[in-house]
Amino acid sequence: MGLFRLKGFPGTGNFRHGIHPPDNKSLSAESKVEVMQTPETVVLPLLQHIGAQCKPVVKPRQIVRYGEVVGVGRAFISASLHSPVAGKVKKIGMVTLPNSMHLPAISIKTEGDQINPQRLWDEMTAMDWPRDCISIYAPETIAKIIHNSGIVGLGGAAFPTHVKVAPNDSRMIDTLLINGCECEPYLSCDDRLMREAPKAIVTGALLAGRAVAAKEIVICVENNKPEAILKLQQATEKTLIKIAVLKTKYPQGSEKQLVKSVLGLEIPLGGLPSDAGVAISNVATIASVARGVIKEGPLTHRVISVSGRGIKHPKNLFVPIGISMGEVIEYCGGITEDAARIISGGPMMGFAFSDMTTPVTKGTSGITVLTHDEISDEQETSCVRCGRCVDACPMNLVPTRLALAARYNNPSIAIRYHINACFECGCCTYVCPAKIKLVQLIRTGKKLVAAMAKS
Amino acid sequence: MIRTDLFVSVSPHIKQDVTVAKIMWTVVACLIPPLVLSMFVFGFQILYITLMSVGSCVATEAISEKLLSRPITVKDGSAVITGLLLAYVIPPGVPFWMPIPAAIMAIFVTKVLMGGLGFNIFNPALIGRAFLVATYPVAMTTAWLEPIRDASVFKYAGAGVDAISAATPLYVLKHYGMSAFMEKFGSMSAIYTDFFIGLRPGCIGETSALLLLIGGIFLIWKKYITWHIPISLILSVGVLTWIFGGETLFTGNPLVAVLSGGVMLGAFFMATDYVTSPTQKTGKLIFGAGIGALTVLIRLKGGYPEGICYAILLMNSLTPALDQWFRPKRFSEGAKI
Amino acid sequence: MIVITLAIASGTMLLMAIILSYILGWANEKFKVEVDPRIEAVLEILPGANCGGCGYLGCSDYAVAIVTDNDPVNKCTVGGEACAKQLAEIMGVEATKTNPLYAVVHCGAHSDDRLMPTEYRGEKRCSAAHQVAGVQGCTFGCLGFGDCVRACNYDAIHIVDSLATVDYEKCIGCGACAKVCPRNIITIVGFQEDMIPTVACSNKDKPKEAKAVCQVSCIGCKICSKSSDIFNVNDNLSECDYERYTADNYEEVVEAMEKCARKSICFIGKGIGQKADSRPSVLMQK
Repeated sequence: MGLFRLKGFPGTGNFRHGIHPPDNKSLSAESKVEVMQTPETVVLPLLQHIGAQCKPVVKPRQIVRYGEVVGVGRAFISASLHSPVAGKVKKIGMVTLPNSMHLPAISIKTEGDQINPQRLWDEMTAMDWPRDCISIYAPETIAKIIHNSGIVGLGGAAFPTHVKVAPNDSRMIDTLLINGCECEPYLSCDDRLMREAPKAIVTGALLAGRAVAAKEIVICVENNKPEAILKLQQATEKTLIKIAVLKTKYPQGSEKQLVKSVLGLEIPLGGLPSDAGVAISNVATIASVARGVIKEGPLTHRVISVSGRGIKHPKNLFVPIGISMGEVIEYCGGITEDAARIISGGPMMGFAFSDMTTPVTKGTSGITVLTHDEISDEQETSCVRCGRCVDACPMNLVPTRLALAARYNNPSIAIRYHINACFECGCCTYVCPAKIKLVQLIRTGKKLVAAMAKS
Repeated sequence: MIRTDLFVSVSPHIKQDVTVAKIMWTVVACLIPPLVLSMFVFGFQILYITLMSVGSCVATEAISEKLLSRPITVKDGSAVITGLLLAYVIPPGVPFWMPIPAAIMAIFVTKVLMGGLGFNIFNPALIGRAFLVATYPVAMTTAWLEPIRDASVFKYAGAGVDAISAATPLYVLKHYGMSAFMEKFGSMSAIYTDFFIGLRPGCIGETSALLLLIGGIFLIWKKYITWHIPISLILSVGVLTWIFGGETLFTGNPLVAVLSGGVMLGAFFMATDYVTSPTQKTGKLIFGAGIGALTVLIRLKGGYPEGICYAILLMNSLTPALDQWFRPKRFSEGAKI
Repeated sequence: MIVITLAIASGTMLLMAIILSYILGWANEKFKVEVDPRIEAVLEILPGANCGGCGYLGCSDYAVAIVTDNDPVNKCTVGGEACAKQLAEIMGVEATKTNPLYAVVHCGAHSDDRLMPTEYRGEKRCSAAHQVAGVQGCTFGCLGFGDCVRACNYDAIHIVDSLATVDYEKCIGCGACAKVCPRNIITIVGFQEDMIPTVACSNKDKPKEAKAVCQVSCIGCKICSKSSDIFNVNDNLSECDYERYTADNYEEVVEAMEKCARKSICFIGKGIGQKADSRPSVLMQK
């Protein structure tokens, strides 16, 4: 392990265990980002991030402009919500998100003059993003703008970004890692963004680096995206930003594994990257930071990839947040005959859903449609203790123990085997020959442990 | 608009194309070449013994699961493996019916009564052999056959079981010493080649180190088993025999020790049985080394010339403890906030 | 020689026996723990099911609590009223009237009533299926994978046509099912009568959304509360005030039941299977 070093970095560019699923990125990676026109209605769930739900500040039948705040996140760990369209608030109804959260959402019917989304995307891909006049923005200002723009992590977890960049004297940040690994199979939205808007990413990286006072800024990319690496290398010329080319392996993009790969540091259990002096942000988040600060535009649109063999024309799209999944799928030609499962996100950590009116949220990185052949439906057999899950777990846990402890309602064994260290990457379930739903069981196990801690 | 023609489930939505049945049948495929070689070396009657063993194992599993109204799991191939391995550790000259009581013991008592595949503590095939050694000791320790080197003799070999009786290398070595061993099996280089290819008296499937090695390496390459148990087992047998196996210390012959008896079969196919071996790497290394040490102990000091069967069974009983003691170190376990 | 050896051995044993028994006897006096004899008596009466329905770890814990902390004697759901009476006698307190406790499932949707189900391929457990969106349209109702059935020690709850259904002949109200239900639709209710009405729904969504996912969902239309004031509508969901229901209210409840367009009010209790519009024919005749 220790023999190989990633050139220029203390880490090895690799981490222990993990898996190599077929990445299937070629389905959508070569198609340029297309801009979707403004839909008739958008639905904005009030909780699109980790943290406290935001409070609606609009009433039904109220007219809203583009970018107007419709929900305010008052708590520290929360994010505001902006209207991606101009129109009239229809109602505040309930929606069920793919992650089975059932929560209120503001629906807005578009009316009147709309902002042209093509203009927003052209701004993003423009080559004139500033690199030199970053120092005119004070770190506090940048953090404040990020807060006001409602920017959250666009990689999937949707952790409010301003919390990461908020000045904190007790935890000094040495390194800002910008996560462009995109280790999930099928998804290619970050890849496209790095290829098409490298300048925006560089500007955003410099801004975020200034906000956290990082000494070093590193953009991390897996080595299966050579074109993105090339574009970023050109864009980062004459800056302090370094590019780390990492081994293609799942879950390379996970926070803890990424820090280990690049910097050789281990984030303790229950700790945050900042405990190791690191801040991590996704490339798409960083690009929206650039837009928020330089163009003063809130987070209203994002790039998603619509991919999988069950979709007629896989594409990468620039869509307004709040558009329904059904419309996005229709735009891509609809699903094929043998489509079996629609997933919000990638196939390893995404959530399956069946309601086509489910809105695209800030954390939706893509839609993957799998066919009957791809989703295996083999009968579960008993665990033969083969240990494949143990050899796949990037956290070095014993997934089978955890899952069986959960199945037989034994939270104390689950705690002894560190159930809370599991971040549900799905490696164990992917390799399990007995087809045991380990991740699902471990999730129920976590609930058991939480219930035990409460009582 | 809800699409009710879809499926919902939890992540991950893609799975590797590996099932327990696929692994088991691959192991079966890896076990076939030694059987084919043995057929030519010991005669066709070993095929009948093997078929009898596999058939009775599969039948026992199907019937007992039917009687206990459990789902019938013969399709997963584990009963076939048990049947093959059981035949492989029986001498080639035993009567045809011999595997039947062993199969009932192996499948019904050791596996099905314990709860089925995944719940047995001991390796079923080895329990079957241990049962036979206890109940039919004469047949199990004397029914050896001399390998057939001459193609013309081969034609008649199937005719009679009691064609030629022989002694296993380990038996000769244990009771008559090195000089008698050399006298019987020829020069050292001839011994190495013959033993490596499989031309020596021994149990049905254990003789050909070469073919077992090929099968084992294939399984390791497919990542169905890991190298830890076989390597630590073979190394510990070799090293301990080298130290204690000779007349004085450090004069034992490790190669003969590894190539004779059931070390190769045990190392690659018996000790690596998923259910009865530890799941973690440190545990696996200790498990393999423990088997090796016990094997050498039984060979040198015990009453039997070969001890790998009991060594594996003894270490099987330690597997749950090894899993408890050697849990993998959690990622960032040493890191502090 | 042998005689001497035997004598030495037996002599030593005898001596040890005497010394040890003396020590034991002394320790028995010295370290005596005063145990209230009533605890023994109380424990004798308690049924010994150790179900935990009283809120204590087991019967002996509850016995100690009754005697030392003067805990109410009517907490044992298994023993019921007879047990409470006997306990009251021992403790010399007045036995208050206790309503027998039973589990009530606040969902009335059988498989045909549930709309928009999507085939679920995952671990067949409620706690696991609850993590997945779209297993069925309704996000409040019974999932029907039977976590409650596994939790029940009395074989008193079963999945009937994918709905958890309580067998009131067997239920003792220990609350084990209520604890494991991931959707919290099972509550433990004190029954004033043998049969009581309930609103078999937990859906708090707006009428349109509630209608879209289920044929027997409560939409909070308040018609029932106009007929009988034991129904209160909060958050688009009518709830039955079980404490206020007595046989006198029977007529108005039946009226509410008839008026309910969604057929989500039903009677439950001994002798009635839980069905969307089940009606106690016995009571009707009374």
